[in-house]
Amino acid sequence: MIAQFSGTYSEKRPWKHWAAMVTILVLVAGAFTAAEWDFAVLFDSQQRSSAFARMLAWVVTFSSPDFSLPFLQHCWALTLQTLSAATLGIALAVVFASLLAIGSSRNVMVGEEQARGWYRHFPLRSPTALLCSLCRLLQDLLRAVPDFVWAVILVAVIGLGPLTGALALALNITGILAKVYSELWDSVEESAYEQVRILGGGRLTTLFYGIGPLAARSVQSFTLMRAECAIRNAAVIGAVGGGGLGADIWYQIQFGDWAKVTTLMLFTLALTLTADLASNFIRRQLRSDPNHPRTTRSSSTMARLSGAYIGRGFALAVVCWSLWFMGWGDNAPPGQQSRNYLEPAIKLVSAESWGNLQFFERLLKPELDLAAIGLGDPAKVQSLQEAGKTVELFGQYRPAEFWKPSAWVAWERELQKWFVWRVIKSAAVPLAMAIVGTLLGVAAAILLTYPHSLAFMLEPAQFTGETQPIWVRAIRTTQLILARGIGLLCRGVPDVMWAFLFIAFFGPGLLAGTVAVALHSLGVLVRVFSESVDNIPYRRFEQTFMGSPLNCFSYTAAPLSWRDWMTYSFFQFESNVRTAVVFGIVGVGGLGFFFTFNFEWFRFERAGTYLIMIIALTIIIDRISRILNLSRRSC
Amino acid sequence: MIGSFFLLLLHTLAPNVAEPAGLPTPTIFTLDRVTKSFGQAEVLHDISLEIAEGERVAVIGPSGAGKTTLFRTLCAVLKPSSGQVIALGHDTRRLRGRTLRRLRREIGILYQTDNLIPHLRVVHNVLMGNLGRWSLPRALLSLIWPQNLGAARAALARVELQDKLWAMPGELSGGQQQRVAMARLLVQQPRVMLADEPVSQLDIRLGREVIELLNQIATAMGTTLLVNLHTLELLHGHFARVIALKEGKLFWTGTPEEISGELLHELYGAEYRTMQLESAPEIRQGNCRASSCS
Repeated sequence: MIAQFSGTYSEKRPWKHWAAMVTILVLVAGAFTAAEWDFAVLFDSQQRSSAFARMLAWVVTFSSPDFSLPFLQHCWALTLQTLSAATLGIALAVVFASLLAIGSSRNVMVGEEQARGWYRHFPLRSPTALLCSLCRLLQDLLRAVPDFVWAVILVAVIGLGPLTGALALALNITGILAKVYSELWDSVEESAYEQVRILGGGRLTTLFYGIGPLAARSVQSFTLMRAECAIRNAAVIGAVGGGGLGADIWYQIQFGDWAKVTTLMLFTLALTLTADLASNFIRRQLRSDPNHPRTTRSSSTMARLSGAYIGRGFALAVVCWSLWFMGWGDNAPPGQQSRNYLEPAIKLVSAESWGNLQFFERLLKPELDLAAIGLGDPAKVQSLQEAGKTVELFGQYRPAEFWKPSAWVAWERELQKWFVWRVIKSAAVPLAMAIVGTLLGVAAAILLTYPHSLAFMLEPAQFTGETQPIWVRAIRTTQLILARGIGLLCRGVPDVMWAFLFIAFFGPGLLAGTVAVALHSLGVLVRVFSESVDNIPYRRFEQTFMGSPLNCFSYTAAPLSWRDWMTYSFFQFESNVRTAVVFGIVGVGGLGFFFTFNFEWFRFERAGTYLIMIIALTIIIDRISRILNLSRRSC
Repeated sequence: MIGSFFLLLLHTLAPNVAEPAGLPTPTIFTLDRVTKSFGQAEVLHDISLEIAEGERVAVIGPSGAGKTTLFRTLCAVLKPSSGQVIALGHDTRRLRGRTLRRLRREIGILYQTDNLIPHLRVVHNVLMGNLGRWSLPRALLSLIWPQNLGAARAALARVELQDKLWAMPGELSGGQQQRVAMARLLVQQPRVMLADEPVSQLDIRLGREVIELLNQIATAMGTTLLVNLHTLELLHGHFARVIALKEGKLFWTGTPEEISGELLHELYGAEYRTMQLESAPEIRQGNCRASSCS
């Protein structure tokens, strides 16, 4: 096809990476024009010094934590509470996500079919295909509503407490995991498990014998990553009624007891860092390349087989512990009465508490402001028209005058009168924050991956054959420790906390949110990036090593893991958009701010419109990522 | 046995070969009583060898004889557990930084599989031959805007794949991929080429093409060539010297013409029969080799 059009060569020079670069440039340009950025803090010396003073005051405030024994015990109890809420949330999410993913994975649900071309994407082609798209819609809804918003809604049904946090996390993570599981299953080549079908396996047998095992490695890896993320979120979700450490931090902030806040934050950090290290350990056990020098090898068959059972048994034990702890364990800080936090779950099946939800019924009737575009009640339209508040889109300029820049300005001014347009425009703030923040984070993560990887820092002698003097080894080990420390810190501090920190420096605004997004993305991404580098068999490096480790990294490690990197980055971007919405709630502005503002003033119809926009953002990005995946597979 | 003794003698009599790099040295590799073990297992045992500049050497032997380990020791990835390897005038036990880089630039390697990075286009895979010379910024720039495109085109033309410049390695057949790897060697212009079972994944006809091409390249560039071979038919006419390894020891050296049935029987043992079967053309179609790598 292409060959016909080219001259000397049967393949044209590729243009796709140029297209990608141009797209990114356009997005960045869009991000800087669509939202208002204030760089004054960076360039104005007076503002800069006052920002540093604010920052210093911040640091001073947090430099004297409260380490009295009773308070430490208090914090410890809350940490356990947070941990059990997170564990419960993940356990529920894994179970429900697996079920939902069976429904929403095309390979599993629809299976073999003759459909080609557009018909393949047409949901009404068969009952199973319809069910599949419905499951996808459900998972998108679950995922699109941030866990903070789920918590706000659940508080109305079952009240405050760690169970609320656990369920809010479970709902959001179910959506995320179901999407990831189904996409991973769908990305397995059909020819790879054809055998199972030929042997007569049904769709579920194919899943368990073919698709499942083929995707198991990525599924495990992603579940772990989400589990860590859940622990981080469990630590802050208390701020909106989820119990645990977050609730107490919020409580103490309102009393201005900064010493206690500092201690609580230190406990949060310790919890997230422990989770991080534990997941590192688990990942090491799961390493798939048997020839990798760091693979844990066991000699006997018994030991090799028991590993999986021990792992599963341990996970099950932790889940049982967290259930017991939340329900019947000694789960209250000293001096308080232990409570059975599981009891509110009964309210989930009672009609009374669902009655509370009627409070939110108005959320489901979003304000669309149809009168402003001349639809609906004629009397209302009439009155608005008289006040000049209806959209007369082509009043001043015809559509044919699209080439005049002033026409676009006028059209935009007209559209401003429509509430829905303002809602759509408010999405520019979180989007701009997410685009710029993710790009910065990805770029920094790629740079940091080299010193962060075990292969290039600790074990290059395995594939280069060089003899390292002790000082070279010392330098590389220092680099590794520094890079790992930066990564740990960036992802260990929950992103909302980063946002608070940078709001103190930059003042509330886009810049603070962007830096927070970038730092947190850097922390999360550098670990998965360098993990995929470390999973490459060293033989590959040995074969292409020509004397320069950096060249070897950029020509072997980077291309081999590039696709993984981009997949992870896109996931991160999507979750950054939601984070940016949440940042709106804590003072950055934009969509999240307008949602909570209207919500708190009981303007539920308007809040409903903003909520729809939040959901739409996620769904649009998801569809774009699916299309990109398609084009990536075809080229 | 006598051969190895003779070589040892020759080596002890030879003048100091560890001359500084850059000067044309008559010997490319000198192995002096090299032993290599992984944990308990001794893979190479007391091997002494010399390879002269411009020589064409084939290494044969049954699976597990240590052929690949020998090659990895020669290209300085592995260090001998005892003994000494002098590669192009450098002791491989003390390599690092610029010296290592200078040495690796002069050694071109061709493997049986996975020579190419599947996610990079053919052009980048060929230009990777320059990595030993390029600085990092130039290497990175080349990924976006290929540097030295003319050299890549010329090299691909030499292996008759000029139309695949922008293809992805996945679109090529096994033999074509091997030829792209050879185009990379052409760009690299090394002083030695080590080919570790370059044809074991190919059928006999393609294998012959690859070996012939390797020989042509070696002749054109005046390169020393060491090939680790499993297919004995390819020995004749291409190699001046054959080195046989068995159980990590130097078993025999000589010319291809001197190889006899008894020698092979003794060298390969039980594998000998399968090899005989394999060389029968009607069975060769299948991919089921008893021994694919050592």
